[in-house]
Formats: sequence, structure tokens, C-alpha cells
Amino acid sequence: MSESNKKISLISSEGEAFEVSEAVAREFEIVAHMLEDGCSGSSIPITTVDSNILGKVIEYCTKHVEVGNVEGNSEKAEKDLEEFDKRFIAVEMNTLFSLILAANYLNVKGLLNIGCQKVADTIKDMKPEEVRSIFNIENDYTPAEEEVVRKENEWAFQP
Amino acid sequence: MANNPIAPPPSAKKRKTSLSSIPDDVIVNVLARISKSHYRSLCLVSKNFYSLLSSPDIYFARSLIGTTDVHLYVCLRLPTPSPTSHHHRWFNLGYRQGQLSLVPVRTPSSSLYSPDRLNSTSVAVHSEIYQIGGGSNEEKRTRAVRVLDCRSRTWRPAPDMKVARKHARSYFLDDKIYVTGGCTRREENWGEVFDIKTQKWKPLPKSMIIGGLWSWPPSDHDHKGVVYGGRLYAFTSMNNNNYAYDPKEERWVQEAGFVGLGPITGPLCVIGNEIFAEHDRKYTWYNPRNGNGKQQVIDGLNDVYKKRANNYRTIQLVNHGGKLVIIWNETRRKRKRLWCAVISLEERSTPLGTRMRGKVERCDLLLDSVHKSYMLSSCLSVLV
Repeated sequence: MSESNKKISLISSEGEAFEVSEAVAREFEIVAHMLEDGCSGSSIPITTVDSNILGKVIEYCTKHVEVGNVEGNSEKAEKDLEEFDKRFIAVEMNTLFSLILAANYLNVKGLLNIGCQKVADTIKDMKPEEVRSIFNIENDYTPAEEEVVRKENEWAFQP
Repeated sequence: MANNPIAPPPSAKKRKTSLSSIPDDVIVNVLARISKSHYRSLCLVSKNFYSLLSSPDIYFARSLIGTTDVHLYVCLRLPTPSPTSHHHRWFNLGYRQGQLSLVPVRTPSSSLYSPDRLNSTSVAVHSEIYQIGGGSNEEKRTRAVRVLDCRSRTWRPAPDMKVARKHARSYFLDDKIYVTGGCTRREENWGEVFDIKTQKWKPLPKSMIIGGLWSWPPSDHDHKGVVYGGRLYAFTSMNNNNYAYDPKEERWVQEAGFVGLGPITGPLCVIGNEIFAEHDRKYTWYNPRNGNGKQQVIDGLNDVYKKRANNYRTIQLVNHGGKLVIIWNETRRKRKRLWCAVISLEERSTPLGTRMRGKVERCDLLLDSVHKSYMLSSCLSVLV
């Protein structure tokens, strides 16, 4: 158990240090790999993630490590965790995308999954223009091209 | 930037940093979680979306995540040039040129065992369809079971039943297939159970209920069953007692407080906690564990009733991923028409009690003026 008491500092893009237990840091697969590769330094810079988002990702990982450590994981704990996840990703779109990008970069699979699922649930019934605004992308079709795609796909992607 | 008199609004600035840089693998991760029926619209978002949705990556991602879609498989009995013979053909209910239509399921030519057996019974098991028993009137009954894998679209054999059956009934519950009837009543194994995991058939225990309440086994035209709340319920018209087979206890139990299927004469299906059926030319619902079991009319289906001819006959009700699919036909002289309606349902509490509101999403002609020997022999909702 001594290993899990070891502390590691994660440094955000602003240079702020977040001290976490090694178990929590290992939830970041990217950090786990660094530790396995013998990178035993006690502070790890996470240059692409800002303090706000890094703090949230740590909160997510801490909760999941805590619940994972409970002996004889009960159904109630599972339910609580589900509730926690639900609340955790009930954030506005910009934050949600920042969390997804951080989870993608740090390779926190659970967070990446719930984040992507949340976006999927949000956009599935949206019109193309609404999806564009969510993803902040331009419509790069000319009207003629759009018409072709529309026609072609009458046959594709059967329900 | 601080001197810039026209500073961008904070939200726009935030957006730029967080959103313009979403990598394709994250977009694929999101899109792979969405039902394919939305892809037509999502293709129009941008050229990149279109290319991602058309790439093999998305299918790989879907299989990793385990995203499945419900597909409706329809089996039709079609006439052949010989007046006495028929053959079966499976179709997918698709959406083409703005309306529902039947798209043939093409099995690779290497696929063996494409069965052409009349009077078989079929049941959906996850992404597969089990076609069980069968035989035409002249032919003997068969014990054979064939499986259509709806992913690879290939047929394979499954272990034979213990008893040869035609016109049997089949149900899927708790990873087991239950088959009843379709044999003589004196047969030892009136019902049998196939365990998907062990791939073994075993006899369904006989009802232990004594005292003449339950004539066992019931005759084929006289029994019906329904899988509801983790049990298989069996009913006969003689007797509307509530006999349920409990798969965990592996025995028949008598259940109080369950309103039987006695008053239902036509097809039925279960969606959520409700049983859907037809009563007095209207589509109805009731909760067998709640209230008096009175069938209540589904609101909002006038568009369906308007399209129906007087001499229609409802052939099937299907739970299609929580939506109600109604299939009916109309026969006029020697021609037949086949219709299909897809209805989404919404339960609402009103001061007068719970109402079920149906929204007619589609109501289209599937087959127009075909020979009356066309028959729908099966319609199943499959997860693929």
C-alpha cells in the first residue's frame, strides 16, 4: 500500500501544481505509461490542459479511484458512480469539449466515453446546421454538392 | 491583443480554442454512438463528417463500443410458377425515396442452408434469427433449426429439436428459446427449451397445476403466449388463469394479479410494461399487472385508420426498439396489399388517468396489388 500513498504533482498549462496520489495519477494512462517507462519524477507537466479542466479531470479520477477501492463493490456504489458521472458531464458544451479533449490527450477512457456519449445524445436529433454550430465548423458544401449528397444518401444508411 | 478595441466576445474566444481542434478520432467516437438512421442527416454537416461516416473507421468504432441498431426483418411467402409451391424470402424494412419499403436480404451465394421451410416459427435472438421446424402440408414435420446471422447475412444450422414441429410457437427469454406446440398433443415434449450458451435442447417441464384447471397440453389453435416481466405466460381460451413459466425456478407458477390475454383475439406485442393489441378495430394497450386489464385505445392514430380499407386484417404488431410497428393487409378480389405503420408512443398522465399517445411516424404501402398468395410469415425486430 505504500505505493498508493506516494504523491505526484501534475502541472497545468498555467504552471499550477495539483498534488494527487499515484493511484489517481495512474488513471491518466499517459501518466501511467510515463511511470512505467521509469520516468519517476514527482512532477509531471500537462502542458495542453488548463487548471480549470485539469482540476475537473482529477476530480473525476479521484472519485473513480475511491469507488474502485471500496471492498466488495456494492450495487449502491455503482449507482452512486453513475449519478456522479451524470452530474459531472452536465456542463455546457465548451467545457464538455474541453473535458473530452483533455480525456483524449491524457487517455482517461471512462471520461472520454461518457463525454462522447453525452455529445452523441445531444446532437443525434439536431439539424445539420445545429451540429455545425456545436462543433464550430463551416458548411463547406456548395448548394449543388449538398443536393448530390442528399440524393445519394436516400439509399445509403438504411434505418 | 489587450489594446484591441474590438475584443472578441469571451464565448467566441473560448469556442475557438476548444472546438476548432477536435481530432477526427474524437468525432468518430461521438458519431459511432449514434444510430445509423441519423447518418443521412449528419452527412450534410460537412465534407469531413461525410468522409468519416463513410469510412471503415466508423464501423470498427461501432463494433468496439457495441452500438447496435434495431432492424425490422420481414419474411414473406412468395408464390412460385408452380401453383402449389411457395418459397420464403427475408426482407429488411428500409427507408427509400421518402417511404418505407422492403429491401431483400441478400445472403452470399456461399451461404449454406438457406431454408425454405413453410410453417416454421422464427424468433429473434440478439443479432440472429432462429427459424425452427416447419414443413408443408404434404411434407412431414421437421426437427431442424436454422439460424440467420443478420450481421454476416449467412445461414447456419443449429442443433435439432427433440421433437419435429410445424406451426409451433417460439419465444426468447433469458438467453433461452422456448418452443411450444406444433406437434401432437400426446407427444412427450410438448414444449422444449434451447439454451443458447450450452447449445442444448431440453424438455420444458409440464405444468404441475392439477385439478382440471389446466388442460395440458393445450391444442395449437387454442394457446397463445407472451414474454412479460421475465416470465413466459401461456393462455388458452378455455381458461384464462394466469400460468407463468419462471425461467429461474424452471417451473410453472400461478400468478395472481396478472390480467390474461383472454380477450385478445389478434396479434399482440409487449412494449415496456404494456401489452398492445387490437380491439374493436382500434389499436389498444393495457398493463396486465395494473388495474382492471381494460384495453384502452391509443390516441392519435386516426391517420392509420383513415388509410385502412374496410376489409383490412392486422397481421402483426411488433415492438421495434420501443416503437410500435403495425402491419396489416387488405385483400380485394385476388389481389393483396400490405401496409406498415411505425408509431412512436408517449405515456401521459391526465386527470382521467394515464393515456397513451401514438405519433404516426410513417404509414406506407409495402406491397401493392400482389397476388393474394403472398403471405407475411414473420416480422422480427433484430439488433444488428
